[in-house]
Amino acid sequence: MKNVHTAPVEVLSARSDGAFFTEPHEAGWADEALAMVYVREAAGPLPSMVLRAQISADGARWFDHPAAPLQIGKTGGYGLPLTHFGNWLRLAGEVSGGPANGSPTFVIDIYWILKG
Amino acid sequence: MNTNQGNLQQALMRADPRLSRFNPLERILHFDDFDTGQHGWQGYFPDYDGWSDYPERYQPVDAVDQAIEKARRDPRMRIDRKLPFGPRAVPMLSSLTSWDVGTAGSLSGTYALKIPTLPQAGSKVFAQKRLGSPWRGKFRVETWFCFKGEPADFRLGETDIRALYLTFDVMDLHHIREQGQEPSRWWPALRYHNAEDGKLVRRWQANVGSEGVKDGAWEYLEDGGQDLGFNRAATKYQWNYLRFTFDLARHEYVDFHCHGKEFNVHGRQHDPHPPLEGWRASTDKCPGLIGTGFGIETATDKRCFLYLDAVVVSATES
Repeated sequence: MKNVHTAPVEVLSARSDGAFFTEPHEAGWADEALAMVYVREAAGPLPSMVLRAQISADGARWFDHPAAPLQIGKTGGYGLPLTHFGNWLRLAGEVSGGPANGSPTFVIDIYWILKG
Repeated sequence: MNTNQGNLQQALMRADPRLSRFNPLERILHFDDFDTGQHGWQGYFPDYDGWSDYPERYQPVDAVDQAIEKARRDPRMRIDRKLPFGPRAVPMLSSLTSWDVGTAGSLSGTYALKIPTLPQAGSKVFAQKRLGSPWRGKFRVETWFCFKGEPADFRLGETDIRALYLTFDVMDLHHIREQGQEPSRWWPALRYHNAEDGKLVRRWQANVGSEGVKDGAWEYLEDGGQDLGFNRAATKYQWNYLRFTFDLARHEYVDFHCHGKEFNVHGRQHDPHPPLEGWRASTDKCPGLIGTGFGIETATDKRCFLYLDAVVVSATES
């Protein structure tokens, strides 16, 4: 039987305009990784979040995985499936179009669902 | 168990390379080899409510909407008291991989359980498992562990790690009421105070308080001084053995051994001061709980990691 593991890396996370990175996660045992993103709230004139999967050999030096990034603009669920990611994983987010007063553009949950 | 059975069991375990480096009691409740999975060691998430219909709920436990509001807006809240909303550091299976040597692997295979902190001073992260012993005898936890700071800055990082934790939230089984005893709650818990203000402390402590299972207050063991194996580079992992035993019926520490040293804890009790009150003292909803937590706390804005190679939990029937 395969192993499966769901790791909550952002829970009820309030994200304002700007860049962020999720905490590094080691997933070398897994054949596949699926980032599941739940957008609970979206605010502002044109809320937008681009989420890229990033990979690393050592957990310190990161670059983009070849998978196409997630483009997020409204509430709902989003999935970013990955294979051939090696061991270290994180997500890089770029948020824009939020409220002018700097209050959160999005409230999100992010999980890694790992299987292998 | 008679002597012959005991000798046979010991001989069989000593002949098994997986168990020979442990000293379990007569019944193994679980043997968690992290080369085969995460074995249910999960992040800690404090109690939250949603139980507005629960008449005896402990008032400081907020309803979840209140907790969200506080975690978002109250900057005075201690970081380790916030419900962990936002970015989370969670236990994971690690291959101990770094820029210089690549994959170091674990003590006995490829994977160890890694408990990481956030890169935020005071971040304290636990891996948890909750079980109930069917017996009221002795209860023992053993592991092989090592701990490190994040090696990204190439510094040794030894003083970035404030403390390591092995904590237990223990509650009596409720059927002892039939024997005229009132169930109660206690916290056998150990903390390795590694460093403070950039200086090494390296002394073991025990929980003597009622602040929390993981929050002390803490008292240094008289013979608590110990230099654990840390090694001389940020990516050289050196494994330490640990064994802790307590008595579920007597509410007493039985023994504590770490890295070759036997500490004088026999007979120690956790007599919380000030006493636990109301809901916190109650065993309601958790009879027979033995909630185990392995944890690590960072002293600086740097991630720190506790690695466990395997965990063996064992018990005696009486």
